[in-house]
Amino acid sequence: MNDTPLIQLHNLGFSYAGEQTLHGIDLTVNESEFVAVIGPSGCGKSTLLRLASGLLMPSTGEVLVGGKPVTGPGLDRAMVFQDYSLFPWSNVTDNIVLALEQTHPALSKAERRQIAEEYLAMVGLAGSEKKLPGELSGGMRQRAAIARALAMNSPILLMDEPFGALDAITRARQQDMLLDIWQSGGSLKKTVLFVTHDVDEALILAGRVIVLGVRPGHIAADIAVDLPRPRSREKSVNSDRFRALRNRLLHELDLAVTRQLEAASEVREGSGI
Amino acid sequence: MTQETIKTKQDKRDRRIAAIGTAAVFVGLVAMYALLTDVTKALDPVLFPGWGVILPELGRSSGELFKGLYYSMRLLLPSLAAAILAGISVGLLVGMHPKAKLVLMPLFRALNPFPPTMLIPYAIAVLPSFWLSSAAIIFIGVFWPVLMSTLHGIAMLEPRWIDNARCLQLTGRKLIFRVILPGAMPQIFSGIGSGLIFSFILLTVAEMFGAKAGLGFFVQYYADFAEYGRVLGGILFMSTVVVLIMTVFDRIQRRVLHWTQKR
Repeated sequence: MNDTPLIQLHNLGFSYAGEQTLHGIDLTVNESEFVAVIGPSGCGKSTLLRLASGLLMPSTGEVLVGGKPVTGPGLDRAMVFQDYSLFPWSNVTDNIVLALEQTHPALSKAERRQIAEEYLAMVGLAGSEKKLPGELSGGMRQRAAIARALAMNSPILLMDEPFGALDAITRARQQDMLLDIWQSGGSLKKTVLFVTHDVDEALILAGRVIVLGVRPGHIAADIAVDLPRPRSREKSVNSDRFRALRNRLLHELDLAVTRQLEAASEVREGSGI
Repeated sequence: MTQETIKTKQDKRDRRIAAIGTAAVFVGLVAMYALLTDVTKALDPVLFPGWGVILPELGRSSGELFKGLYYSMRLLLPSLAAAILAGISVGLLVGMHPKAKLVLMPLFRALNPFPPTMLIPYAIAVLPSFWLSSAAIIFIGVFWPVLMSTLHGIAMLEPRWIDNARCLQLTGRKLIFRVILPGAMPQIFSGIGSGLIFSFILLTVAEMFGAKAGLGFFVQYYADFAEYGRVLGGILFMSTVVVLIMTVFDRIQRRVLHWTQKR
């Protein structure tokens, strides 16, 4: 891991329809870092990711990627959404091939197809190349989406609750797979910004967890996850350090939610007068 | 045997039983008509000739009918193709430009329900040939539903598909052919379906008005001579053609939209 900043959010704020969802976000993600963003629902964590992706433009402040301001989506940032990274009318191979047409325009058709099949095999989808996304289970669809993001070979991966819609066992398998793939990346490790609402998921995967508070969304805590790498779920989960981090994160989240409830009751009392 | 193969087997059996049922109802209707005409002569034999009259007439007119079919298709198919192409193109052009859409949509809404049959006398007066005036009427009748459904389909595109396309930086032809058109296809097909049905009505109306050939002309011509055996034969022939065209359309639709059943 090196300390070259890759994604920088400066004094980032976002308002929509008169309501401020994010305020004064300052965050630097270094190259090859795996950062999880966690927070109660409504804290603007998905908005944060969409700002980093360039799908949304900030109301205040700016997003820099590699030192350059972001003015829109780019192929240097591959996005994995919760359950819709693939077009339902194309089979999974064609979905990946379409992405590769954009990122690797110099390659031949056959080469793109071959890369697509390699990455599908890597996520355990060999044999399902010709399946439409709708013919796959939720977990398989997300694996295909991750295969697409990895095949694009973008230096940055932006993941918006990619396993949020999956059942517990499938989710654990996907986390293990992502962990293995990311850790085996060596010096070519992707920089990952990973939004989740699951404390364990954040601790198992990330090297650093950002806790967002609410009203408006702000950075409430920035916690280094100093569990040794390479990690495995088993080793991590059973360590005392994991339990300590877990308690600390839950405490921070609890504080964020309490403040939200207090703020909400103040508003209600205020409007009553 | 897996759950899935049991399901498809059950499905196939259900479908076979349904097909037998459809055929039975059809045969029943044919037999009922025979009973009312050929057997009991309960209906007026001039206006309602029995199968014993219709079928030989059909055979005798087959040359004329196929020639009529050729003329009708020569009118219908190019008009349909042009209207579908124009409807989708204009729909894409307007639907992808929000400002143009805001300006034009009220006009589209006003013009869309106007019955093209009203234009027939004028079209015949303005355009140099019968073929051109009829083609223009069919074109207008199909163009509007295809245009409106294309606009609707583009408006209904799921925002997540657009996000996805933006993240992949898809633009121009790729954006149109890989995202917008496939995403809007379910609506576009429903528009083409309405347009297709409307086109049969317009075709026969146009042919009854001023044509010297075609299936509509055939029916009108023999009705003038009170040869109702041929009239009914012509109507049956035309219905068969319509059923065949709709079957082909359904096949194409099912193939293109097959992803919508797997979601």
